[in-house]
Amino acid sequence: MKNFLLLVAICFFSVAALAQSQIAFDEEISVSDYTSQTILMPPSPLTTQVVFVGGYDIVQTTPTYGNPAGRAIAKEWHDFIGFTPDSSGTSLGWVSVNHEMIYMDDRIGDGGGMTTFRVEKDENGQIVVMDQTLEDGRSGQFFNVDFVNTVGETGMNCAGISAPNGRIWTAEEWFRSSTGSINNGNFRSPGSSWLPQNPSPERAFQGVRDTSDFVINTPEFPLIDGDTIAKYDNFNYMVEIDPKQAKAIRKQYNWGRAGWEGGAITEDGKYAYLGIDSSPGPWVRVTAATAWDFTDVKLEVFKHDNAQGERWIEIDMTNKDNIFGGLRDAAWEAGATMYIRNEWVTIDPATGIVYWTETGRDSGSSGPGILFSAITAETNAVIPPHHTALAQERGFADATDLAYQDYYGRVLYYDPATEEVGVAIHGGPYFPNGVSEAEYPEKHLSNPDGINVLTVGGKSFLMIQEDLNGSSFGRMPDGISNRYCELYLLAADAAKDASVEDLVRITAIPAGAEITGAIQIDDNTVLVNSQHPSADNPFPYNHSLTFAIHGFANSNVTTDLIEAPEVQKAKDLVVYPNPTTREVFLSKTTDFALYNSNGQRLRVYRNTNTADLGNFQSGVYYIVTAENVSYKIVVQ
Amino acid sequence: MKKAYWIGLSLLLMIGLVAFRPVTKPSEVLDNIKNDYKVNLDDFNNQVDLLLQEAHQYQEEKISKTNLQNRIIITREAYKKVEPFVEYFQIQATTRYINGAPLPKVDESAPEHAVIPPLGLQTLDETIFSDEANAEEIVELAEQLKRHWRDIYLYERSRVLQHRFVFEAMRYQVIRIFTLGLTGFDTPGSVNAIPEAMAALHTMEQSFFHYQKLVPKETKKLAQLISDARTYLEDNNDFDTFDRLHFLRKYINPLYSAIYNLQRNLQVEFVEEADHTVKPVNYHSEHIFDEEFFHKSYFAQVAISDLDDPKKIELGKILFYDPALSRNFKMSCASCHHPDKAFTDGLPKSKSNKPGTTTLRNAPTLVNAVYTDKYFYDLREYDLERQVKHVVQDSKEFNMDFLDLADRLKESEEYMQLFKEAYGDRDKYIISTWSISNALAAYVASLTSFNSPFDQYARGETDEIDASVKRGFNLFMGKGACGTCHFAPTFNGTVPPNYKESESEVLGVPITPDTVDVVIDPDMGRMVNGRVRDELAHFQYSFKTTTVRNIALTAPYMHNGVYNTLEEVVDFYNRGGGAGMGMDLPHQTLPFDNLQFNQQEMGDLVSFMEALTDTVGMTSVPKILPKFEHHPEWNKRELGGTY
Repeated sequence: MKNFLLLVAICFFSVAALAQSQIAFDEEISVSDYTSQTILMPPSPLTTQVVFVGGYDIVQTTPTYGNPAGRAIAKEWHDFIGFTPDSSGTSLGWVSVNHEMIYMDDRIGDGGGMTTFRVEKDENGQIVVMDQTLEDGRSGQFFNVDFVNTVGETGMNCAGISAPNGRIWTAEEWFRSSTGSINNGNFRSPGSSWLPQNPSPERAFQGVRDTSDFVINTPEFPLIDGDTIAKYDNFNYMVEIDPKQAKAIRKQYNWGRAGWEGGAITEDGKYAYLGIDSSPGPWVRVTAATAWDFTDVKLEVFKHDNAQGERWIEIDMTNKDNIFGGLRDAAWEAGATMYIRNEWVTIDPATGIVYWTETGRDSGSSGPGILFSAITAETNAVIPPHHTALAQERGFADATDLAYQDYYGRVLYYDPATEEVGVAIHGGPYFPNGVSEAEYPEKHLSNPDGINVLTVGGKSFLMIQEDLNGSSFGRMPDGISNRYCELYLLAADAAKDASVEDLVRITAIPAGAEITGAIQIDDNTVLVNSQHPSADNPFPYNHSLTFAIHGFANSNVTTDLIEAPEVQKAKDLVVYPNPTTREVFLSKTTDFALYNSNGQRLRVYRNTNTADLGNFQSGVYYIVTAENVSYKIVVQ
Repeated sequence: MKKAYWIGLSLLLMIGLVAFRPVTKPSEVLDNIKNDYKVNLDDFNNQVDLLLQEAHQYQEEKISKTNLQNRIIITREAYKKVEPFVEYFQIQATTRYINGAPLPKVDESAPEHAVIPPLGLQTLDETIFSDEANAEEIVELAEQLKRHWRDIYLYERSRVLQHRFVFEAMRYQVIRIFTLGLTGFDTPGSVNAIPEAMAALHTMEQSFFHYQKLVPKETKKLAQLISDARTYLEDNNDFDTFDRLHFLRKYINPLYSAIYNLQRNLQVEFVEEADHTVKPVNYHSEHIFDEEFFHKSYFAQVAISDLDDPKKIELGKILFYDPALSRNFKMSCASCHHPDKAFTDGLPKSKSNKPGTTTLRNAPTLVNAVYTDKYFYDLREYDLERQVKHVVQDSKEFNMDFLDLADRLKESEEYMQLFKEAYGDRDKYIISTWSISNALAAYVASLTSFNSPFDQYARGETDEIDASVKRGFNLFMGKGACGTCHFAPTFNGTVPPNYKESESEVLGVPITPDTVDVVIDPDMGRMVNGRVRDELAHFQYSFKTTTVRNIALTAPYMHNGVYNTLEEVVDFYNRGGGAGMGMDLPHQTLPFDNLQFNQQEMGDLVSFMEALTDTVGMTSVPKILPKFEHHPEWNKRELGGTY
């Protein structure tokens, strides 16, 4: 068959012609024909280390629901990571991990949860989870954060706040609107019709079994201290925890009930900026009367179209309605700006600029256009200019067109000095009106969710983590069908109307792993969570886990992250390997194939100038381009 | 008709021309396919506008229902011409808004319960052809279609094509035509399935016509096949009598192979050379009923290296038969999953660990159980490894703390040895809740089979099969509409052609077989499975669509084991399920109407299902269980347990 094909090829057109017109690259080549330029790909300066595996590692528990203290299997769905540096210097610090999954558990407690542990580094720079004995007598490595006996159960712990001084808050995200909705089996869910009682409640694996009224015991909030509330009204707060003793401290009632997602606190302990994951949601700031005392605050929402100095509007949090779920409506009445699902928030310590992710939403019945249109009709709420511009770019009069969708989301910035909000980088791009193949982007940013600052070589980068809302409209690369969430770096000094070309992909993560929670814990190490299973990696990478990426202090990383992207943009360079991102760059966008040392075709890259060698073993490879130019790649 | 003739003629003409020299360049092939795609997109876009216009006219009583029915038929046929590409590139948006099943869907990414009501062309087809076609509802559906199609249309018009995309899109289209198109899944109201299949093949013909100008010899056979298939459909256009089995063997199988072969001949790269993550469908399979049609690793969410390791499978098998996994040393997995009954137990509901009581539901077969995205009748677990935990911890089953179980197995040196051999490289997880789960998952995932007498016939390996099996298959995939929920080739609820999602259905299964005094089984199923996302009214009484394979061995049937024979099961469906028998069950997903099977047809359906039996190589049992050297009393436990 091969001979026959060869004949066909010779008869009709030359092999080169075939290649140039992009139909195919030979499945096999004779590598001896290619005495080509050799490109060296040095070993990656980045290495990974598994730290904590959800669903399999053991956590120590407190006496809960009448059960004695003991051990249990850790909950799963790792999301946010908080880090508390050890100021005593005897260890690196304490790590807090959110578990977004919720289910009933006799020892951990019903609902969601959090796990904390203390870490140090050994002489090889590897993380060691330390043995600890806590004040309550628990001994072990991983500790379940006790919510049940401190503040009532928790749930849907997605993101939170990791303050500069190491204080940690966890956010209870998924908004609950009735006691039924926290207890599987007796529920009435928003938007669904009436649902009956579960006839076999013993089969309910999750939910909060104790649905009796809750008595608030927080002397620091005299307004509501001693109030009896429905159990569901005790959910959806930012909750401060003590990572060292693995117990919750307080639900932040004074910030109100909302679908809290992320937050960040300024270096001076004066302001907390908070994201509410709802469509739409306001952009929120709380101001502490005394630095670091967040029990006495002023809560404000942002309104972009007010004059500078008047853009933050106070919401009356002495009104109990605003505490127990009315915050969002109060914001719209006050004319606040609407955002489509605010997620994580971070502050660049170098500039004080606040960055947050607006992840976007597309939906049949509650798409952004439908919601903007309904809310602007009834309240004073306003639409941010970037949504209006986006809608117009797509051929709508404005963002209240019922067909307007926000497929990709974006990263926004807020400059406290000027009270200016703008787009750091838009998700996308979206191409409604045709784009030539050559212009087709190599990178695509969709639904940014997690965000944190990474400092490498004195330079700040935003670590942006995707959490795809869907696969359509280019959110996954064309012709690629599996869900794929990327971890990108964006230089903070470029984070103003940046383009996707400015993003640097971090590929030092296992294939198919979905990354969230990325946080830098010292100059060399970033901790990340991987959630959602994937069949592409052996255990534990096919489960929820927390792992470390080491090597950011390596000077090569500084070079690769700071200098290389500039070099890659230069036109005069032919091929440039980037060991940190494990990519080989070509000087122009083309088609090319990658062969192994035996000349067997392994990969075909179309219309790109990058080959990601992140999951390739060391050895010799060949790249042959559509122009029939070849390179020998030595992966070390 | 006329058009087809013209295309056929010009095709012949072109073959004649290109026999001497290529008339086109490879890049032009893509340009031409792209141009056809644009024309088809524009055409469907116009149809969407016309449909909305006519829906308004119908509402204003300016046109008749028949006019509107003709319009939806034309609109749908126009969709079929863009379908291979639109669904290849935009599967999520098209499933939700353009041509998904007429059922509510859930937006899994929203931070609240977000139910997407039934929308799109299938819903329109069903509504416009129903007796009580509500004009207002139709206008709303047509408006929604236009609203959601808008962005897809704009986006797709700027689509950049690659050869790989064309081949993959067309190959998936072959699966789609057979599993969704010809079964009537797509056309619940009009039943216009066969003309739609022709429209779908039209785009395929169009696309490969352009390759034919480039490589005439290689493309000749494929082009002929497509054209013959279209002719066959044209000549055999009655939905009820259409011979789907013949069409499978004569056209679908060869098409599925021929597209692949052309791709290979042209040395166009395969999907794994661009995207190395594991996919449900093994692209290198030869047929839809190929034994290697699926990548089980995708479904199990377990690495191939673990699933392929005989040491892990063997260890999993020992664990499967060991009652030391249960608190009282009396119950093993095999207590409810007997290998001679395709790993079921012959009981309506399985025996629990307390004498005289049962577990909540019927024991499902484990053969091919891996091919789903969610496990258990109520779909509560997404991960095969984690499935084990439910059984271990359930107070009615093993009733065991999983951490205690791991500690218990560590007391056996023999087990320690077996675990070291299988998991020696996994540090602190050598004997752990994970390694126990992984070994059992590897064993369960090894229990797969696509080699029943029917499979062998479907692949063309034999020409011998009972006529009643043929008739039964055609009923199953046609008039009976069984194949619109029990999808080929697994005949379970895993939805083709991408096989990424498994469905559950509300059937209205009664508490007793009584057909007069019908009372629904009180088990609420998926709605109370413990997943927040599933706490929805339309999941009340909803249960996983289990496989029909090996069904001859797995009586009694349904999640509560209410039916003892397949005849009773077929009778239940024939009556339109619970609602068909008078239950008040608004969310029933099974059509309420009587299927009107006669006795022979019901027998034929049973014959077909009985031809799906194959448990070869799966029934062997370990000879002995590992010893607990320091616990002689534990060594008295029985292989497989005492239940």
